[in-house]
Order: sequence, then C-alpha cells, then structure tokens
Amino acid sequence: MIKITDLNKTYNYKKPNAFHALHDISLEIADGEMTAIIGRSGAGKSTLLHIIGCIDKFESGSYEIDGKDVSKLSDRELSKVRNKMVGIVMQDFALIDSYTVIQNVMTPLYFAKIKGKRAKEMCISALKAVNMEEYADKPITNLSGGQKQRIAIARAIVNDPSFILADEPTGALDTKTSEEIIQLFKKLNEEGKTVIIITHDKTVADSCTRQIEISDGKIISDNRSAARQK
Amino acid sequence: MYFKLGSHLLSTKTLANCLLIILIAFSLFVTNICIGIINRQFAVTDAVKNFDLEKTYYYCQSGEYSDDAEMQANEYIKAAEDNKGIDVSYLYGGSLQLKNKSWVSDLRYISYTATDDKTGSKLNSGQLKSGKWYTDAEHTEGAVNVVALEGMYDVGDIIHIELDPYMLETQETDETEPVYMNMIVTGVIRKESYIYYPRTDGQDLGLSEIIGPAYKAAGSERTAVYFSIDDPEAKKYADYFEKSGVSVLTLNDNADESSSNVIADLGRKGWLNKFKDMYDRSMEDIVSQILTLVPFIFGTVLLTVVSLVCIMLLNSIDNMKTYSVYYLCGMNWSDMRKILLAYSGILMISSCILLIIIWTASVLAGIMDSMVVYSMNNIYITLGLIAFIILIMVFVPLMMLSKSSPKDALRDH
Repeated sequence: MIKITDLNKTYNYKKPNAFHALHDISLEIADGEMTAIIGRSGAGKSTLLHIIGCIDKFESGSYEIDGKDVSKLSDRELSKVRNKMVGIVMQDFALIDSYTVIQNVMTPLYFAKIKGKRAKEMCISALKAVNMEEYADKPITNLSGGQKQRIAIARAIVNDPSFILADEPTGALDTKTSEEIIQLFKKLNEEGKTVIIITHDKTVADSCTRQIEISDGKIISDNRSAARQK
Repeated sequence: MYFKLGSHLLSTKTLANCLLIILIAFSLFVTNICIGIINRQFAVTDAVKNFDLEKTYYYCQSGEYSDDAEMQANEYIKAAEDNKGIDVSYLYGGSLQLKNKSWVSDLRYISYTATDDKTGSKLNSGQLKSGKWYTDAEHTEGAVNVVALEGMYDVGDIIHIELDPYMLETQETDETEPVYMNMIVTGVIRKESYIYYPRTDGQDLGLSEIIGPAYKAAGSERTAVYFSIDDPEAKKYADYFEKSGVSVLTLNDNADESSSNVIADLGRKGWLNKFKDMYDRSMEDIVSQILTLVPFIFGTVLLTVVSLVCIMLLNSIDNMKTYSVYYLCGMNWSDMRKILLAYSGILMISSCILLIIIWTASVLAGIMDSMVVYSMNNIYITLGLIAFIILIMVFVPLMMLSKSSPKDALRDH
C-alpha cells in the first residue's frame, strides 16, 4: 500500500548548509501491518514519517500510496491525502488548547466538509474507540498526558484514514500510560488499521510486528529485507 | 465551516482581537470625519454645479447711496433687464409672519428666500430629504409651492401666512384688512444643505459668502422656506416680498457685445463678481484646507496600518500551532485564505458595528452638524480602507506561514 523507492531528502537543498537527511530510502508497507521505525536521535526517522504523512517534500525518488504517485499531487490533492488517508499522532499531542475535546476531534471533519449530526456521531465513535467519550465536552487543558494522547489518536482515526502515523507517541508519557497507548494502537491494528510508529523506545518497537531501523538517513535493517539479504 | 474556524481564531486571543476592533473602528471614524470635513468644503462648490460659471454674475447694488446714485443704479439694472442677452434674477428675502393657526409650538415668523424659476431650479443640487423641489412639483391652486427646512414642517403641510401690509408702498394708514397667503410644502431640505442666501457685498468674494448651510439662513426664526417668485400664486403677492438688492445676472444665448458692456457698467456701480472667479477663490481655500487635513489622515492611516501589522504578526505567531494542526488535519492554502478571510470579516463587521455606534452617538449629540457633510466619498473610501485592512489581515499570516513549516511550528510550540 505504501511504496517508497530510492527516496532522498535534503534540508536547505542546494544551499551551502545543505544536509542530506535521507539516502535512497526504499521500503514497502502493506495494509494491516504494524511497523516500528527505530533509530537514534537524528537518524532521519521523523523526516521519513513527515514525508510519509505528506507534510514534507523530497527531491528525488518516488512515493506511492495505493499506486498513486504522491510527488505529482497538487497542494489541494495532498491536503486530501492528509485529511482522508493519513491520521497523524505527534509526541506532544498537537491539540488546540482553546478547543474542547470534541472540537479537537472534529477538526479533520471540517476539512472533509462533514458537519452536523453525522460529524458528531463520527466524533463520538472515535472517542469510544479510545475510551474517552465521557470527556467530549471537557476542555483539553483539564486532561492528563495520557488522556490527551488518546484524544490525539481519536482525532487521527475520526475520518477513517488508511493508515495511522505516530511520531514518538509515548515520548511524553510515563511507563504505565505508554503501555496503555501502545495497547490502543495494537487494538486499532487488530481492527485492520495500518499503523506506523516512529520510536527510539525498544519496548514500543517490540510490540510491532515489523521493525525498520534507520541510521544516518539509511535503512540498515528491516525484518523483512534482513531475511532476504540472508 | 470557514466561519466557525475563523471565529475560533477570534477566541484564542480575545484581548488582541478587541484591540484590533477598536483600532479599526477608530481609524474608520477619524477618516470619515476628515472626509466629511472635506465634503463640507465642496458643498459650497457643489451648490453651483448647475450654473454656467463663465456666464453668471453675482451683483449687489452699492450701499453708498444718494438718491441720484440709487436712481442711476436702478437705470443700470433696467438696462440689464432690457438687454435680450441678459437674464436678471432678483433675490427676495426676509421674514414672514405666520397666521396663528400655522404656529408650530411658539414659532411666529419664518425666514424666506425667493428667486425666479430659472435660478431657483439650478439651486436644486440634490439636497432634498423628502418630496420634490418647488419647481418640480405640480402647482396647487391657492397655495405657493415651497421647500421647507427640515424640523418644523413635512411634505404636504399648509403654512398660512399673514402678509405685512406695510410692504406695500401705497400703504399710508393703519386701517387695512389683513392679507393672507397659503404655502404648501412640496419638499423638505436637510438643515446642513447649502443654499443660496447672499449675506454680503464686496469684490473678490468666494462662494461661501453667498452660499451657506440652510440652518444658518433660518437664523432666529429657526426655520425657512424657499420658493419661486414666478409661482402663479406668489405672483399675486409679489409686492409683499422684499428685494434684497442682490441679483444673479446670466448671459444667455442672445448675448452680444452690448450685453457685456451692460454687465461691465453694473460693475462700476455696484459689486460684481463672476461665478467662475468666486468658484476659483473657493477652490483655493478648499485645497488649502485639504492640504492641512491630508497629513492628519495619512498619519492616522499609517498608525493604523503599522499597529495592524504588528498585532497580526503577534497573532500569527500565537496561532501558528493552530494553523499547523489544521494543516495536519487536511487544510490547504485555499482553506487557509478562506479561514483568514472569515476571521477578517468577523473583525471588520465588529469594527463597523462599533463605528456605527460611535457615529450615531456623535450625530445624536449634534457634534457632526456643523462639521461634516456625508457623500458617496465616505462610502467609497470606507470600503477601500476596509478592503485594504482585510488584505493586510490575510496577507500577514499567509506570509508568516509561508516562511515556516507545520512540523517546525508544532515542535516550537
């Protein structure tokens, strides 16, 4: 479903301070997989996630989602990909503090032009999936870190995306809460969602069925590609 | 959807947005005051827009009279009347006594100004609040068509006048029957309208010496009427109306050298001012006053723009995380522009409501009456300013966003 071929990303491209963040990255992620992308800080994990999530661009190579070449899409088409196909969960939750819980969850539906009763039903359904439906009208600022991350996950899944991207989703959480969040991702994966998690945490990586390790912008191991190389 | 998201932006920085609303309303208010003051200057020149300025003269007989001098002056006026190339319009004016059943509260007298049909119709420069100009309305049997100053009378009102028998030169005794006349109000003019009422004589006059706001013409009588001396009913009572010694002389299509000579002779026996010269003098004054106001307007707008840009920059920095979240959730540049337009629109509507409140309060307090005149200039310039402000309110955040990336913004916040 996600196919990346010989992808290169350079920050400050063609400038004196250019930094080559990703080198000839090639990988394929099938529907329904739960994949961890691991590596040390500065390895290029987040860069790769941002490209997969269509919130950053690349200079060469190709990136296809369900056979469609993303690099040829216009700004409007890319925004539709972000809205309908991708659900992103960030380390610091990326919630809007002045909104209530349900307003945060509803944000992708505004851009999908879904409103009214249907939008509310979809929000409640997403909140139920993360066990937070009773907090619907509460302000975000009253919630704990774990609760906020659940809300972020609810927002990511409200529009039934093709895959969920999570950038260090447990980075700001304690061990117990982290475990709860990972269990939540596993549950979503069991329900058929493709999940891609960026992490430097071995425990989180071990909970995934596939691990791709990146170092200095290159894939150095992949439990699938490692088996072929042997 | 865009309205909802735009209004969310409003709620994130309430104090800054309130400041913006007050700032915008203030600058629109000040700008409109300045425009109104400038409009007021042009009200004088607008009042003569229907006159052929090159061919029209304002003439006032000299006040230094001996009987011989007066006789001579009258001869010259008669020469003008007799010349087929000159139209002479006399100005009549004074006070008329109301018959008691016409009294409005304790009003006993009304001021009046009258001239002939031709000059009178040219004075109709779109100043009517309601009804029709007296030369445009149908004649009513038994009543003189008049236009009245707003405040005392409405269209359709009948004013009963008791004429002063001592106006008649033949009147020698006190024993006389009262003479009554009726007037019917065909139109009402705004009290700040500019109307022809010569108040002075002299050379090198400006238009403001012969044209002024109608409420000042009313004087102590508090109201005034305007009518044509050619009105069929008014003609019957022509002897009761007082000539003011002022006339408007117009060269018509039959004018020749003799006409110009007669005009020149009149100039030697009284005060003669060509409308074009008066217009030019008035324009010089107006330009001078505008140049005094322009730096003030420019300074106000500049202050507003600089403040607006600063507040929008700070607003944009504070809202960067919100914009980034929207981006993650599927917003594109077109959505961003529409959200900002909705946000700007809500701010502008709030500012305009505040502006209307301030403006209404100042009008009710009577602050504006003698200061400003409204015209389409106010609408055009206000709309232009609003469009310019909205442009800034959309452009500044878009510029900020184009320089940053959502992921960096989320990381920084």
